[in-house]
Amino acid sequence: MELISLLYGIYPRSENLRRSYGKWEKGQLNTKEISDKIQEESSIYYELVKEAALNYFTDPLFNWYDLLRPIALSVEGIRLGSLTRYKETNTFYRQPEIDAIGKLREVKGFKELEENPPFPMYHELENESYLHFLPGINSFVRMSKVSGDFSKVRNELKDIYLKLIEMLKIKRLLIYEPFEAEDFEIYNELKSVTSLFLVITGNSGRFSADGGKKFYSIIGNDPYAYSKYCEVPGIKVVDAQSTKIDDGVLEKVKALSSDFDKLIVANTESFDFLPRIIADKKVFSFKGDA
Amino acid sequence: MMEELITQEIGSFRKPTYLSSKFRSFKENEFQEVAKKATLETLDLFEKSGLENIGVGGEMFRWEMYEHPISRMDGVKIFGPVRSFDNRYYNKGSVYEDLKRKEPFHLEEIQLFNQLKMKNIKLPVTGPYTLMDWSFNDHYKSREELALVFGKIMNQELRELKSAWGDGTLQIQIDEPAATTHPEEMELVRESVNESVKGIDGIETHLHVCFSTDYGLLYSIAPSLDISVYNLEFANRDPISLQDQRNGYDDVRRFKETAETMTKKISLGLGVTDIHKDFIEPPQLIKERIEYALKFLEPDQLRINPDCGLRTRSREIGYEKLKNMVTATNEVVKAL
Repeated sequence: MELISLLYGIYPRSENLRRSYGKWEKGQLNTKEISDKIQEESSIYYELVKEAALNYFTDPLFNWYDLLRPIALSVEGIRLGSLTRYKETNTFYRQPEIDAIGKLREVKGFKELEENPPFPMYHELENESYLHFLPGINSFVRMSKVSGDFSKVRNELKDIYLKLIEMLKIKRLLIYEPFEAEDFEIYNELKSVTSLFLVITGNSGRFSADGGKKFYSIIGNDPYAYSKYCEVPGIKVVDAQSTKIDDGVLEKVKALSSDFDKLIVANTESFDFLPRIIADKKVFSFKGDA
Repeated sequence: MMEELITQEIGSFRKPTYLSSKFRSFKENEFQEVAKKATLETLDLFEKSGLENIGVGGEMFRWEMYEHPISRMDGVKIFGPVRSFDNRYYNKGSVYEDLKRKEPFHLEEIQLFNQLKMKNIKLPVTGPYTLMDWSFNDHYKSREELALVFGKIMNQELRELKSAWGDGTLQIQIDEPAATTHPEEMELVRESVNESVKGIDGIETHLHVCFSTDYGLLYSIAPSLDISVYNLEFANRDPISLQDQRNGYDDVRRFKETAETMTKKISLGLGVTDIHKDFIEPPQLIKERIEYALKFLEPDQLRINPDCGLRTRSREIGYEKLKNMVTATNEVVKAL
């Protein structure tokens, strides 16, 4: 069985970058300076994942203050609400408040906004291994305060995602659903215009995604449950909630070796939940060779 | 007069810059002196505000509620910070072998207040469940096991603090911000908190929980929890307009219903000022909040406090908030 490594989600900021953001927030660094710093830190990350020989990795998302923030601030009709606990963690996000989904704003340039800096969303890398990242539509709605019809909001968000794909010419996109979801047909149109990696959470036994092109990959806890809907199934095994470096990846996937020719091994959550020094070591553990 | 409604603070207060800017770089002796100076200055502010229970003078000896005890234990290592929100981070420890307390956490504070002969204090400590929930567990078999180990360590700490305090009741506030974050683990919250205070005489136990989405979870274990006073946050969820109904305080009724089912007396520390906003609540607004709570509870079941520690606000704003809190409380007491 061929193991294909994939790292997704927000990567932890270095101390240098955290301090720079602190200075920027106090007005001691200007917009150009912080923008250059993010670019510099992104380059360091790309060097690291290259050294670790990861097959796929998402943008480090250093400029994302939380999982939803850049989307929330780039769409008219969404406001930032109060700090809200993310799942059962000690990490908080600003809860989007959605009245109606309006237009997509410009998302490429670094702009000073009243709120924290969401743009540019990505520091793209011209590389076959690079993936753009977006939060799952189902989870986005679940994590927001929505007035009105949930299904309408989900559809409008899907249209926003389609516009983003077009605007940024996204070739490979990873979508992360941090909460258990049921509506995966919402991604049918997205699958037809880009190569789609979907990370799911929870009970994958109920997974169903009929219609349209296959996902490139679906990554969850049980590859048997969703392998027929994707080209290459994946499994979340590299633990983002433990500072132990060796997660015993080979042991964990051994039982699957006779049933799959290829298997994507991915992290269980964003590495943003780890101290940077540990994250930098864990990127070398995806194929069990830490 | 003030005996009828005690005003208290919750714990932290913004440190003066001369302390915060060099907190980690002072030499030990120098640190003790500077932290003491900052404590005395903060106590002055508290006294001017009219606050009755002065806590420990704003926690000037502690950088942060989690790191302070964790860094005084063996078996846990801090590899670096993880994000709390936005660009705010905290040092999260990794438990990698059996935990042991290697030095006292708060002895210097008790010794200082003994020296000052101040008895109206309330000592906040970080609770075992929160210590467990905020740590990486790379050693113990389960979250349960780790929480109970933290409970035993806190018990050792509290015994020593009480012993250093001497005669008279010592108010201990167990801070458990994580208490209701895993609803299925409320039994573990109960067990680990009870373990912390087990067999210690001469203490009045407070529990502080804030920003919970469901205090009902806490009330469900209250009958078997060894806690006398629940210091909770309410102002954060209440509108700032004056009105008859205080929507943010609905849970006071549920607290009363819980208290009525119990033979042991429990009291409520009512959060009346929001610690996440610079808006200084006018006395009239705070008065309405207290009066609303008094529809359900007797004055001797009620204490008045900010929602949480005021370190999130400047010292000037923190002082103004406390001053208005005391003014409002005095006005309510007069009318009783």
